[in-house]
Amino acid sequence: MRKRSLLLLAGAAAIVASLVIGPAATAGPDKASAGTVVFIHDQEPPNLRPSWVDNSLYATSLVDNSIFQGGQIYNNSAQWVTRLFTGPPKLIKSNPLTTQFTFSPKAVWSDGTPVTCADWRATWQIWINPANNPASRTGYEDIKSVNCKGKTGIVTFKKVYADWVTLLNSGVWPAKYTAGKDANKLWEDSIPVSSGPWKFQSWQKGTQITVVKNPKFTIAPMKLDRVVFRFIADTNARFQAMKAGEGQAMEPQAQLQIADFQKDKNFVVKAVAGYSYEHLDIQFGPKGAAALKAPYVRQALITGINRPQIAAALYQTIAPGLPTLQSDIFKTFEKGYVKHYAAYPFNQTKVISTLKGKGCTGGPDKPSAGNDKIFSCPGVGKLSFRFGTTSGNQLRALTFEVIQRQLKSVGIELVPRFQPAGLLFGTTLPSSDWDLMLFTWVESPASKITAKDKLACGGEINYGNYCNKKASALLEKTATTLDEATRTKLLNQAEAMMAKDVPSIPMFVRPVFTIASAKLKGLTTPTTLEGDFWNVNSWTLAS
Amino acid sequence: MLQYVLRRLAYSVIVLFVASFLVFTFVAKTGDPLAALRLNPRISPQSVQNIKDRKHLDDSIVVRYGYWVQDAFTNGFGTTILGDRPILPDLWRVMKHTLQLVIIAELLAILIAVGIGVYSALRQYSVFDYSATTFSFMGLALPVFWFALMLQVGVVYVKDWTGYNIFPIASLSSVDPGTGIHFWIDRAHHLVLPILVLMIASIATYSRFMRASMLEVVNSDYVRTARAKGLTEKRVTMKHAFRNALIPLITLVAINFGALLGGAIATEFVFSLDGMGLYYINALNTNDPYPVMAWLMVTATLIILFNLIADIAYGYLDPRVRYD
Amino acid sequence: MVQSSVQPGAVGGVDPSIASAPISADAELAYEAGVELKARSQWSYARIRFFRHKAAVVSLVILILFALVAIFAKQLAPYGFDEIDLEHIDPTTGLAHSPTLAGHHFLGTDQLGRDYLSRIIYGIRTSLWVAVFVALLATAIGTAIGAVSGFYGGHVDNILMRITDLFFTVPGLAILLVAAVYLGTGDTDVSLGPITIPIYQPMKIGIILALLFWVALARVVRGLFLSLREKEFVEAAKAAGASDLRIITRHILPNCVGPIVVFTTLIVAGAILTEAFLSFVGYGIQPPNAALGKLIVDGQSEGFTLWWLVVFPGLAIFLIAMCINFVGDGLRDALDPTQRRSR
Repeated sequence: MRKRSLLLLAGAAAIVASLVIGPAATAGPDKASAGTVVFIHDQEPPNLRPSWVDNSLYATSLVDNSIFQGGQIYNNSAQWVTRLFTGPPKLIKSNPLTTQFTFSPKAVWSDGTPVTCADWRATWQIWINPANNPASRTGYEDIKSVNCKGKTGIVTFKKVYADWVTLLNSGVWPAKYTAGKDANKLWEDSIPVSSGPWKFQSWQKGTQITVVKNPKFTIAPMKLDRVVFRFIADTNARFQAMKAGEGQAMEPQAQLQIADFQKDKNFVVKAVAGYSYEHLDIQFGPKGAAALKAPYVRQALITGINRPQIAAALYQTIAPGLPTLQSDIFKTFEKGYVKHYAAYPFNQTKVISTLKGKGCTGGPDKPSAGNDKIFSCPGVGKLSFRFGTTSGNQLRALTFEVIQRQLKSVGIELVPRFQPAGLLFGTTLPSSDWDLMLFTWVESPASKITAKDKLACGGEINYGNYCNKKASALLEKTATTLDEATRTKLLNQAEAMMAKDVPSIPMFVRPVFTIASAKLKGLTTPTTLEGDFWNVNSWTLAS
Repeated sequence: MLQYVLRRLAYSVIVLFVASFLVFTFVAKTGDPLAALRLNPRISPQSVQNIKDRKHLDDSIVVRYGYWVQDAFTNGFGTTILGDRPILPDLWRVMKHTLQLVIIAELLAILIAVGIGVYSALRQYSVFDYSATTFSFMGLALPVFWFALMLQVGVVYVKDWTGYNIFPIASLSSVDPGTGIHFWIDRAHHLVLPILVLMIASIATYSRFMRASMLEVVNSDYVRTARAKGLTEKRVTMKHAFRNALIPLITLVAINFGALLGGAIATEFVFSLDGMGLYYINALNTNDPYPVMAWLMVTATLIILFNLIADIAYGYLDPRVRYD
Repeated sequence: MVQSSVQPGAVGGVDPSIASAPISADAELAYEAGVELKARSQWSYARIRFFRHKAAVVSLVILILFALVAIFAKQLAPYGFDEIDLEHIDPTTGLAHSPTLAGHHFLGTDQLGRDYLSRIIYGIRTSLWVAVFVALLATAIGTAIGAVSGFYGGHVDNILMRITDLFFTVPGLAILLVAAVYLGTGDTDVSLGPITIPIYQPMKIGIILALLFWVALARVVRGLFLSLREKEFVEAAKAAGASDLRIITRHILPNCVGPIVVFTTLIVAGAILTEAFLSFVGYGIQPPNAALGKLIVDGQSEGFTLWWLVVFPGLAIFLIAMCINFVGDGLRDALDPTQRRSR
């Protein structure tokens, strides 16, 4: 009887084994039909409403940017290329600011109805309706009126809004499908039409979103049949899935694991400098450490951190030659970039001599790696600061540990305060109850126009509470200047003043990475928030 | 018996209410669900106020708890704070997936563990016994997520050498899983590694327990009596010893169910399975008490029911146990 | 996962205050021969039984070695645990170097050039420290509550057991995550009047973990007390006028030491594994402190190429947990005199 039950057990095991090994032995990589690109991503969007209060995810914009296509989109050199418009929007009058756009006769929705100014107008109305919750009304709330004549629209502004080009180029929602509906509930699980290269097909919650080619889009039609967005939460599993051939493209965060793919001939890894940059913000407000109010302390901080070494050490294998960022407003590759913060090269002895010169005591006499003594300065106390950054991010953790070690060698102490991103950015950062904060500003080519939000007195996102009245005045003026050359001059003038105060310590531009299967051609690593699919019309997949 | 069941259920309901109030208070007070909103500085105060009004975020804890209870019974556990998504359909979807995973893993684990345990007990101190014990301890000492990671790395290694994907790395289904029987074969294919990971700890625990239980029974008086009566060894072990040894395992399985759901969290996260574990981690990260509470209430109810069924079954199977 | 081991079988009850050696055939023979037989206490019999369990003995030795490593971490580790070396960059692996026998880094270095052997030594120290802290705290709480509940019964028992029910109905891991997410990061200061006690972050994690583990132990202790309080020696002690506290601590509790000790060892193993899981989801021990779980998590994204980052800490956790399990097994055999198996 025992033997029989053992035999039964063995037989059952054999059946189960054959059921699972069977399809395994015969299946190759995930069977997707030719002409389908599987894009592996981390976070699944909660719904498909782009730019809405509850949905600030990159995944949503990746899917929606090619569904609600804009009049013009950024190419990879941050130049505008025409999509739904006939040409760039025109400036008719500067004061009051009056502008004009015209939709191309080829711009149609996937159900056949043409895209007209009425759609643009309807989108504007949705945005400014107080019962709706868009992520930001900036720009739309400055519009006085929109006059529509078929495909042409004339937009008049209440006051000068410097970034009007981006605003006019924004994607539009279909008037036919939004009329009379609660905007907060639109596009919850699906989108019925599209004005771009692909349209929505299906959403398997928790696993993938599928979009298919939109045959009605003739301006820059897609060659592929389908794109599938596959969501895998665990970082490691994403890389493993890519390696196992379960996806053809991904845009990973900077991870040391990328180096693994660089050596593999089946994959193409590209890195470009983007518009996001890593920086260390300093708190000037009352809840921050008293020592940070003293300029010499801040200068000691930036002089005591070896920024080039951090960039080189952490990104050596995946982005060699990453330059240190020396400006808070311009990126290293932009016209107008001036190395304001190069005035503070790394110099440990200088830190100690400066601090000692100001009467600080208790610290080391020479910089030393094993140092335990921390300086205390007259009137401001011990140089011990709370250092906040996101938890669960390996490169950030490593960055912190290097900085901590570098500063400890010269008698400055850093105490870690790691928190999950939602808590850190949502609660801690805006509360101004922190000393030092390491995070990324995610920006776009037009961000410098509104640099005042970040650096002017009382700026919307000036969580460090930095205030320099003269520089602020210049920054406010920039936001209403329409000429780019003038803006550049004003910004550099302002930053020359601010660099003396060291309001924050720029570290480096965050490189953007893409990993693609060698069979996929056409993918360019995106520098702007337009995303990887801005040129999906030129993607091809070899079989 | 009926009285016992009703009394147990009444107790459980009270416990659930108290637990739910404590957890709700804790989560609501310590987390700020609007934190994600404030990620975007350009949000208008009007939008924030809209959401606060709709979700009564400005009211006291007790009032908010009251609204939550109302939502739990009448509105399918309510909706998420951001995005106003109904919670129950999502929870139901993920629950189905997790139950697929957990139930198959448990059944297989019990089957294998009972076999190992009984055989170890009957062949005490043999090579099989010692190796089984060692493997059990290894299984108990293995960190779940580490083991899952090793399996994934192993699969990639195999692909490098042979070019074959023997098992998928992640997700519940392939890009084009097909329909009908193909869909289910594809699903089974994707669940093999996660089930393996979940099974290991269960097999380790259950086989040790089964072995100890079997040994206890085999050395007991009534078995000795059966042998003395002249029954064959086979009959003694299978008909008398085995069945009696199996009964306490039921209690253990029921107790372990809660731990199993906890273990599923790590497994689902590493393999990116759309299940309750992953749902819970995402809910925690958004600081929204509604999905967290919904998850806790559903799992608590499942565990209570499971324990009750196990106790009743135990009482039914073991005539020495009497419930009053 | 909390591994609880419910042991079928009765618990022997012998009143330790009447310490005596069982009269055996050997003793009688010895008496006849005129040889003095040394009387042995119950503990020495337990010790003999333990040492017969070879695997447990080997495991105990290994654990003692680990403990020594943890205690003498500063002396043993060739480098500090946060000594970053940004100078030596390997062309393929960056700052991390694979283990070499010739050279100073026997277990390689991590992604910041820190010596991995030192990191693991300090990691063992932190993990063991937290685990032992958790076990002691959980045992103290669990035993106290279980004893009171089992001894007094009635309403006290009811209320206390309903409280433990709260912990049983919800997956412990879930509550643990909630607590760790909201409370577990950063140090806090607790002020009791004039004194401020700083509670460091690893201790916070320890307290949170202990709150998870005391429940099962309380249940077990309660069961033991429920059965033991009916025994004759308790009645005798009561008749002699012993106070409740004395009965609990001097009479009943020593009989429970066996199962409690076994359970405590399981808690240590469980604490190490649970701490590893917390680090995995990002809420465990914070950098730059090293804990074994954290080391695995830090290295897992490069686990494919920089294999030593994941294998060595994983092995350490695995070894420690395995040895604890074996020692627990040995203790169970040694301390339960009613085991019918002879070893």
